[in-house]
Amino acid sequence: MISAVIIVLREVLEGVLLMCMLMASSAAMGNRLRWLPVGLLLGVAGAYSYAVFLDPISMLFEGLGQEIISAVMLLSAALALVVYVHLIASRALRPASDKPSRAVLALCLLAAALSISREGAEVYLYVYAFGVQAGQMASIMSGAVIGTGIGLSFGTFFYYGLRALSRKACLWTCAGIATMTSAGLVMQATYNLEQADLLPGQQPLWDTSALVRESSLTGEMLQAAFGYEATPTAVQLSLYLASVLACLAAMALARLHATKRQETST
Amino acid sequence: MPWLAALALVLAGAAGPAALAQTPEVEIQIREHLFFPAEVRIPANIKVKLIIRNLDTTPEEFESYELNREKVIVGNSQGVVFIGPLAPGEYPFFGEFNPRTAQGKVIVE
Amino acid sequence: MTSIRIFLTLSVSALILLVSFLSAIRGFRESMVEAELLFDQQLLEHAKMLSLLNPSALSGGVRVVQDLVLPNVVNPELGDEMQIAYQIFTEQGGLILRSVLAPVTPMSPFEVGFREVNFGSYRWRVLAILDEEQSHWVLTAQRIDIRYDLAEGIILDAVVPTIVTVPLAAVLIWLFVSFGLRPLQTLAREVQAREASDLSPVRLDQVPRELTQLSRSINDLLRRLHGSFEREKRFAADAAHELRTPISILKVQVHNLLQELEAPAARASARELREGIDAMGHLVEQILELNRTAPDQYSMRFQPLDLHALAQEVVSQDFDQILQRGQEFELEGGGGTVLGDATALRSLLHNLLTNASKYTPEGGRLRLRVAPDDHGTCCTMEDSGPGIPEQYRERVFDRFYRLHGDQHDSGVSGSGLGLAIVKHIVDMHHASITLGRSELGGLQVLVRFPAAGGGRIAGLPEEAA
Repeated sequence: MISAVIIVLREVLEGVLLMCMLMASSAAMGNRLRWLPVGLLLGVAGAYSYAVFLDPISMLFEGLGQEIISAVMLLSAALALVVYVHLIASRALRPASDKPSRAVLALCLLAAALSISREGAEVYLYVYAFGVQAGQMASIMSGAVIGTGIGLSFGTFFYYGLRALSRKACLWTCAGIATMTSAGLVMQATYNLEQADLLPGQQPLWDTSALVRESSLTGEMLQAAFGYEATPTAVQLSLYLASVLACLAAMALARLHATKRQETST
Repeated sequence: MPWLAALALVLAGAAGPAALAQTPEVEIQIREHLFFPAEVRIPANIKVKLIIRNLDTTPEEFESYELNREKVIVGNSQGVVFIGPLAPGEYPFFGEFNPRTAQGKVIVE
Repeated sequence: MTSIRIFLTLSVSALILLVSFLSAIRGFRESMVEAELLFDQQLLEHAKMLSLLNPSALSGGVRVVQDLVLPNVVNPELGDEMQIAYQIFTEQGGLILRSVLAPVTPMSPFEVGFREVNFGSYRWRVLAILDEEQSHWVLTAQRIDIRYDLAEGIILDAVVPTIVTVPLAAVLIWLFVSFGLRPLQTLAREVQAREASDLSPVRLDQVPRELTQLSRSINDLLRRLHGSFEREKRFAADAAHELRTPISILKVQVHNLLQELEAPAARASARELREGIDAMGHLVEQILELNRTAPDQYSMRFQPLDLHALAQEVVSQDFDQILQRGQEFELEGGGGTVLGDATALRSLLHNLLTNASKYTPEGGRLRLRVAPDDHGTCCTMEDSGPGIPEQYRERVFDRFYRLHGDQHDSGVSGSGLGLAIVKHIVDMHHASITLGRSELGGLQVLVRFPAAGGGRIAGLPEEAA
């Protein structure tokens, strides 16, 4: 049961953090949450098909299909988040408006669908494919319910916490979270590419597992929040920093546009 | 971030093919939610290709925090995981779906 | 935070869920550790028991015996099905005895303590002890998966109720929150349901402490609003009333002045002065009329009236003005019973008629038609004047609003109150008024009265003021 809790909680937490950030920020930008049901539906459909076709997918690219498809999904979600950071920053620098944005809608939809597909596929494989076949339904279902419940509860507090902030503070916090999340996604994509030998494996630069073990609860939380890695390699670290820089650049670009707009308007 | 993918390909091109030629392969089997062998010995500072063959009907997720590897292998199937180059030491791995029994470690010497 | 109810339900449920699930996990973990200890204890007891066997008595070939299946005394449920594989070795590592499940080779290295190993396609927990007196090794082992399944099966039974109760709790929280928020809804309904003109305090039974301040503030606001409305109404009425007397005096004095003046130029000026005073007098009368007909002010004496007959009466009074302007006038239709107040309706018809005449050029055409129709009585006033462009049709009912300011094509100066008075009277009678284009070329004013005896005319009109 405990392992079910941990597996499900980890996946749910990652998804929930991203979803809450998307929900809070898109609400703060004056968008209704119309993308939410569509995103959920697409995500569930994606998760189901990914899980069901996992075997043929794995066989693609000489047995590296899983890694490559995962990496593509992770990187596109990360890219969507970089653009999203730019949108958030632009909106935060402008006076409040209730004009819904089609770009915000599309990006939320994409990021939500990709995230739910990936996290959902693993939960589905574990709970259904494994739980049913191994005849451990009771313990796995209990664990899954507990894990999902805890994840959603954290999400509830997180969402209302974000909504309690002022519009500006909410948007900038969301931009920060999106930056960290996108870096975390890039980190995961890096593991996948290393695992598939498309990026070189390297000796780690340092080891902080004595401080926070990745398998501990804190470690899991940190990993869900910003892709904590106890033993990063040079490649992982540089790609991680590159994605953080990309998000910062997206924000700087928004600021640049904002100042230009002000100059032309005065 | 298309440049990331491009960077990935360049790096892979630089490190990949040369090493690929002599990449040693190690096969690990999963039977009854157990790893056989449960202890894999590999030389230090060299890349190794792990072939994980799942002989059970249930899926299993090969996972290791220490190796930063995670791969779902569905029932009656197999998967490839590259590890290393690694410093000497012990790197535990486990089957995430059966963490109590499916345990093993890579011993780098 | 769009909904207090959803916020409260979600956050309280989430909190309960977190607390109960986390404590369930904690309980589960501790129970599992307990169970592990229990199983380890079992291994140790069995190992000790086995070591009591005299290995020298068993020498001479390896014996294979049944695995131990011993009921657990401490917790019978945990002992079920639990098989214990065992081996006994000499200190030098020679196998003396093994159970069926145990392999030929040592299950674990010869080191005292617990250890987890794989053999026979299972993972086992193995205990190795060295009996120094007898100088032999005893190894006992249990399958880890069975140990875990047994323990989990029992402990899970304690956890599942926790999981089931949380959704139940969430439903209850939703109901409680809804119940708790009811006074707020009642207050909102109470405020929303009242008439716009009803400024009496909101009365709530058993106002909860949190809402006392709010309802007090609302009542305070209503009271002040009521006061200022009263003052405004009184001011206009009082001012107009007070102005009446000096204007009458002025009129008399101008009349006298005209009698006494000899020079023609001076007489002309005095005549203009008289016209100015007449206009001012008219304005004051209209202000008084407006206040009298304000729907929340008027004390109505509704009775069935023949609107056509009423129209004839008004026309005969106002006919001089029409004649003076050389306009052609027709009164059409007939009948049409309206439940209403005679004075107010007379004022309505008078205002419609004089308005039409005033804004229609000399020699123009006017037509008043009063007739019953499908829904009641319809009163139409038409003229051949300039009409009112569509975009101004809403605004002309405002007090003191005049099309094109004072520069009217007709050159007539009005008070700007005529149509406001008309609107008041129309509202008072639950009638409707629409402005349109007449086939005579000018304005068409259409007033529809509901059928008399429709039962709706009781109390105050809904959309008054």
